[in-house]
Amino acid sequence: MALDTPVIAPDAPERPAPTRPPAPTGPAAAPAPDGEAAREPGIKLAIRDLDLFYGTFRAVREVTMEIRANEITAIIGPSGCGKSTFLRSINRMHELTRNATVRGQILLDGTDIYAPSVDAVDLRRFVGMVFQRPNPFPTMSIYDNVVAGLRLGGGAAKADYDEVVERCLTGAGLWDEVKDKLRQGGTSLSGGQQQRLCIARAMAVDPEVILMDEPASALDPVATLRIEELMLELRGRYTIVIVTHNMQQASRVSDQTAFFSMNEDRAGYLVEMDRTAQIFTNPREKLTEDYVSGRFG
Amino acid sequence: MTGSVVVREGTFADRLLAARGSRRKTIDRIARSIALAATIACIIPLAAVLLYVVVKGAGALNLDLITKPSKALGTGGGALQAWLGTLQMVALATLFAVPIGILSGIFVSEFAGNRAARAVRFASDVMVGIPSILVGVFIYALLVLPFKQFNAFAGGVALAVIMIPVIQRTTEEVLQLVPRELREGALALGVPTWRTTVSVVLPTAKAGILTGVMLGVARAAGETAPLLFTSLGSRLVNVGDLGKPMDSLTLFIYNGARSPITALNEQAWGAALLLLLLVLGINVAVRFRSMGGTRA
Amino acid sequence: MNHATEPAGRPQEPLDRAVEEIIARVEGDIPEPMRSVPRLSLDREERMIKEILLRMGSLIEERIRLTIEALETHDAEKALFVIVGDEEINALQLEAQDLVVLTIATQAPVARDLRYLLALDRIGYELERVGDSIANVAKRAKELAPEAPLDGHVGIPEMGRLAAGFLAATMRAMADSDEAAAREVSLRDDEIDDLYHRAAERLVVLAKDASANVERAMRLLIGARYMERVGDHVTNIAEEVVFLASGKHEDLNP
Repeated sequence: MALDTPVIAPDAPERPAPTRPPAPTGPAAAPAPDGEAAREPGIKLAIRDLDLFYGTFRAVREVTMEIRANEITAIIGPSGCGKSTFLRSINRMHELTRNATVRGQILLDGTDIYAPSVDAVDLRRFVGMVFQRPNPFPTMSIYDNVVAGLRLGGGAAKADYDEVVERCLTGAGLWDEVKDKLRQGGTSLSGGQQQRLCIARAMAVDPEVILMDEPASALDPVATLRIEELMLELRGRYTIVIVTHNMQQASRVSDQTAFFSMNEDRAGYLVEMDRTAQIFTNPREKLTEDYVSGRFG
Repeated sequence: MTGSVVVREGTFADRLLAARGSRRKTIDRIARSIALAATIACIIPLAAVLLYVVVKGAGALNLDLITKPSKALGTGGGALQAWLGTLQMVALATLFAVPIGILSGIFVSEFAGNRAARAVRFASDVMVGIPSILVGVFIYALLVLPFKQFNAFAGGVALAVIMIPVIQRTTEEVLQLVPRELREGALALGVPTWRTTVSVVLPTAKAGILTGVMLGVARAAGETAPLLFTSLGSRLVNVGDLGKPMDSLTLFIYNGARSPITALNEQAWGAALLLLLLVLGINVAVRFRSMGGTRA
Repeated sequence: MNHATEPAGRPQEPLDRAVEEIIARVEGDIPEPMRSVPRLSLDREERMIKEILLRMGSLIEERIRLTIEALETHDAEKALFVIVGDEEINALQLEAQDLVVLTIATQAPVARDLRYLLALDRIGYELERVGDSIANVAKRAKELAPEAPLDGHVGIPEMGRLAAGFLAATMRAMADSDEAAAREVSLRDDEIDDLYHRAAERLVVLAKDASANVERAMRLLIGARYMERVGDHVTNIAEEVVFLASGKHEDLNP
């Protein structure tokens, strides 16, 4: 279960320095601040030619896409198509897996998160993650779970904790249910509550992007709907990227939908990305059409 | 699809009766009985040993045995120097073995590569299997011969060598049981790896690690062979002088049991019961203390 | 080895056990190339709805011809058959509608399937309106049955024959989800419109000529008007066919 240090693919070509995209023309074209690559407004994450490997196996091939700020982007696709791997590369959790390597660029507000100057631990404070199964820390109380990121990562002063706990639990729609038992263990809550606690915990470190890896797949339908409503409330404040098996869920909560599939080489690739309404009513690609209408997978 | 209705013979009750497997039930009953018999065969020696020690030792276990040291010559006196020695040497061994065992367990579980982990695991397994008398001989060569003096320190080290693999293996195995999701949950919050290990992984595995330590302590407290070559045993109370020989309950039992004198035989039984109670007491105390922290 | 130059889609050798474990953990599954999985029950339900609509279409086509015959042969009984028979068409429409609701509720269709079902639902509605229009023409035919014919029924039979052909062609386009065919046949509505305008002008002249003509001219005008509406409804059906095939809303007869 060792967590390895990152390895950049030995056969990867020299990583090109983050290049400035062509400057926008017209009156809106303002010069980018020094030292920061110019970026398109509204684009939070720009993924360029991303390849992800486990050893020599390529799990994700040549993904290029843009994720818009403060929107919900859903990633759908058949089992094993690399969508979770892709998601985990956005906060560099991918590299925790043995022999996992990365090629290509992920630009967060114009900065390549795989640049040598970027530390993965620092990055994860800006790009949080919620997992498939609720994973509150079993040895910690509800209160301590929420502030775990601040306390263990070295953040705000202790005096701020009470305020953070109330704000984040309120934000996650959990405050009223747990305000009288903040000292109880986090695992004493129901599955849906645990997942909202995990969302509150992710919010506590004040990230800009929240990644969700099938956040409701282990929950019952009612708890699932609560999580979805919560996501819609968080929309506008955070850039949310959600991987989901549940296409209805993707169509309900997301603004943009990206469809991943794979060919004979079993490497996942991006088939199509578009406004969610478009994907679920009239997608451009036949493959997407077949997948969303349940005729492929 | 052509909808054809399957017509079955007889009533449901008839078919149920026909399907009843009396053979299956017989085999099931026989298998169960065998398993039960094996379980009883397994428990009998354990219960017998415990019962025998309690019955034989209860008579000899009195206040004198606990509060008085052995007389320098002849019979009489108690086993004070023995249980004090056991406590000291086990404590010393624990002091060495716990940090080494736990840290190496953490290393193998959390940080080592596949090959390194396999190597350490193999080494530990071999260590567990080494006859303890070999450990005694080894420490004798290392810490007794150079000083030309049997000493308690060497006894403690010998016990530590026996404890380390036990603690290391249990720690590692318990850490492996901590769900990966918890580690990833912490890492995804921007918590550094070492902090994740210390503040999330270790507390979660606390009860299990403690069990490993207790296993080690019990094992060390019960060892005789490695002490024969190192702390030797003594009839004198030795508190704190690690450079001198020191007695232990196991050595006391060993010597007493070998003696032709009946009184000493009986004292040995008392000491055996005392050892049993000591290990049990430490176990209960540690469990009780750790109870406040987390659920098992 | 350089993965970047590897042709996409080349089958990879079997996965390493260790890699397989990692992927299964991260992705929750081992990658398997996608393959088609038919949705038999959804397809069957779509086909059932389509068949009901096709039955409605052929029934209406027959009613149009009967109405023309009733008008031309002054057969009040035939006209009455069409008028009463409208109930049958209405019932079919409700049957189709219920099936659409049931299918949407149980199959959760999206994309093409959803468009298809919605389009079929609206086609059923339009067909029902066509049925109403034809029943209305039949009512005029029944009223005119005892009267002497006025100027060869001012082209209403021609309109009807055109409309029947138009409907049949559009239903065929629907059956095949044929967008191009739907566009092409929709042009026929113009011919029906032309005939209607000519009939209207002619009827005005006839009514002015002799007051004895006025009543029959009024009835014929109403009949022609309803026959013209048939063309409009069929055009709407053609538009739905374009929508179900392409997802685009288009006014085929601006």
